[in-house]
Formats: sequence, C-alpha cells, structure tokens
Amino acid sequence: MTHVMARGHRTASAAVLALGGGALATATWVGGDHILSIGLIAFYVIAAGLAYVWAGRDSDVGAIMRVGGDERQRRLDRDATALSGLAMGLTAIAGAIVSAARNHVTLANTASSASSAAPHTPSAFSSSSVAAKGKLRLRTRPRCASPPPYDRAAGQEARRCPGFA
Amino acid sequence: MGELRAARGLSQGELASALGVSRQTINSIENGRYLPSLPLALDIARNFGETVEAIFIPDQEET
Repeated sequence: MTHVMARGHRTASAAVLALGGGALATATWVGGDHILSIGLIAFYVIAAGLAYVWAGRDSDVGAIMRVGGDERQRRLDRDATALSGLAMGLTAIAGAIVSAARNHVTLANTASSASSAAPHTPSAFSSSSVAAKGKLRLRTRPRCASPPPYDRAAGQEARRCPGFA
Repeated sequence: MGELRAARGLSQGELASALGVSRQTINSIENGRYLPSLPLALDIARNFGETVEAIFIPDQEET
C-alpha cells in the first residue's frame, strides 16, 4: 500500500497553541500567580507537542489540524471552524447572560447587606425597593461651607456639618 | 469507481496520489459519502479514460 504523505504545515496548530499558551502563561505570571503560570506552560507545551504529532498523521483530523489537505478536508475544516465559531458564540451569549444575572444578584445582596450592616446609613440607601431592583445609589456628603465645629464634649454629632441629616 | 480502480489494479492510495487527494477522500467517494467537485470528477474521469457520467451515476431521487 502506498503511504500518502501528510501535506501541509503541521506546525500551524502547535504554533497557535504555543503562542496562545505562552501569552496566557505570561499574563498569569505578571498577575502574580506563578504556580498557575508554570502549570499552564506545562499544559500548553504538552498540548502543542500532541498537536504537532497528531497533525502529522495521515487522517482527516490530522489534515484539519494542519494547513492544507484536499478539497474534502478543507471543506471539513471549514465546517468544523463554523461549528466551533457557533459554539463559541453561543457560549459567549450564555456567559453574558449568567454574568448579568450574577451581577444583578450580587448587587442586590450588596445593597441588602449594606442596609443591615450600617443602620445609620441614609434611608434611601436601605430601601427594600432599591435592594430588590439591585440598584445602588450613593449620595455624596454635602460639603461644609465652613469647617465643622468640633466640640470634644459634644461628641460625634458635633463633627457633622450643620444641616446634614 | 471502486470497480474501475480495482480493474486497473490500483489501490486507493495509489489513485489518491495520482489525483493529488487523500486516500480518505477516495474512500469517501467510492462509498458515496462525498460528492467530488467538478474539477476532481473530471480528473477522475480523465484518469480512467472515461466520461464523468459513465463514472458518476446520479441517484434517481436526486434527478
């Protein structure tokens, strides 16, 4: 049986994995997580090596992983690319929905916990309707026209600006 | 197409090498899983010394 040599550049997938993994590992290292960075380097080096070996095989999967192939394999590559793009798009949409829902819940919890933890906050801050809507409005402290009077004997109330409720 | 190839004593790999495609593609064409493009169909017909319609017979349902 004649062995048909695998055509095309088999280094394409390995190079993408090595470059992308290297960028990710570098970013993780800069971010301060050195152990995770070393783990990522090890993972992507192994993945790039496997991709290089796999891309050299005389198979359809190998042809998809390298640049080249005949018309049927290029069509398979296009279909696989389109399918993976669709999957990534759907994943991104699902992730955005989950992220939006989590932010909504987190903000609502923040508002409710802020109202319970700080009883002296303004009333608009601890409104249950605001907590339910997940909207957190902060009021700026009014500037004092003059330095607030400070009376050690009077205590905390004297520190406030006049007219601040 | 498989009968023509076998009659000429060619393996799938040898025919694939002659046509510049992969062995898997020849196998897919012979098993009816892949319909070749017009240039490839012309190359196959030229390789066997036949016409395209002599090698690729359309299904009755598709016509």
